[in-house]
Amino acid sequence: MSVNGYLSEEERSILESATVGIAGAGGLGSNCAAHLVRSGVRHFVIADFDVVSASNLNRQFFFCDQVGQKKVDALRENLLRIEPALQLEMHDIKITTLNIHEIFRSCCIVAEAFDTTESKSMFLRALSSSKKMLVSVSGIAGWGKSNEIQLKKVGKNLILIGDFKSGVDAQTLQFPASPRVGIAAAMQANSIIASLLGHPL
Amino acid sequence: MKIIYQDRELETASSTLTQFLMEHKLAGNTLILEYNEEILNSSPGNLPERPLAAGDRINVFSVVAGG
Repeated sequence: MSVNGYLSEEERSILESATVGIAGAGGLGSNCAAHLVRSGVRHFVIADFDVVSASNLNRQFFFCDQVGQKKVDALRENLLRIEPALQLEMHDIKITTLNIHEIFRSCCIVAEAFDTTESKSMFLRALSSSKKMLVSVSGIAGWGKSNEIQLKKVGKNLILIGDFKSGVDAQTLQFPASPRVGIAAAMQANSIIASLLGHPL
Repeated sequence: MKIIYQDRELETASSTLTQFLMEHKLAGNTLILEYNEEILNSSPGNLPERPLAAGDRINVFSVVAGG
């Protein structure tokens, strides 16, 4: 069985042989993973240390009855419901500069799906000199401004998505919400598939 | 000398990349610095020592929270 019946044999083979890393299983990571599974990617390395909370349900690919579960366990369950034949390497761990290279060693592409500036910056500092393709997000808080979400190719191996200014900030009531986080997660998945298949970003 | 900053031509008196970043207050842990298609560390104390030449391309992107 194949989730995506529109793929050619060659496309299916490319997507099924790739291993995609996802650093963080929150709003970006959980939704990006679901898009990738529906598109034909079969091998994933996903890392997150957090548990599903009720406040995550406004945007993350989890359900009410999963509140309290580790995100990597809940996401494994949900992805396997889309496609049972996945190979999922899930890490219940906080990603740091000390373990990030080892965790994503087997991945040709890694999506940055963190929520804090510190984690995002750590990811970029640690991996930007590697040969892996990186897909990172900056600036997706709030509502509207859909046309301001851009995709930029930076350097030789970094794709940046976002408006680069709308950060989550409780003081200015800028919160992450499903539509804009979802747009960015879908753009991450779209650019990963395009990179793997050799299509324009 | 003229360089390309954020995809626009810009006249600068800076002779090094570090001078340019300091002049424009661009050093920081939460910035992505692209210099001639190379991603460089722009954190304070780790600014890259590169001579600037006419036509060099510099782009800077902010890293903000959310995900």
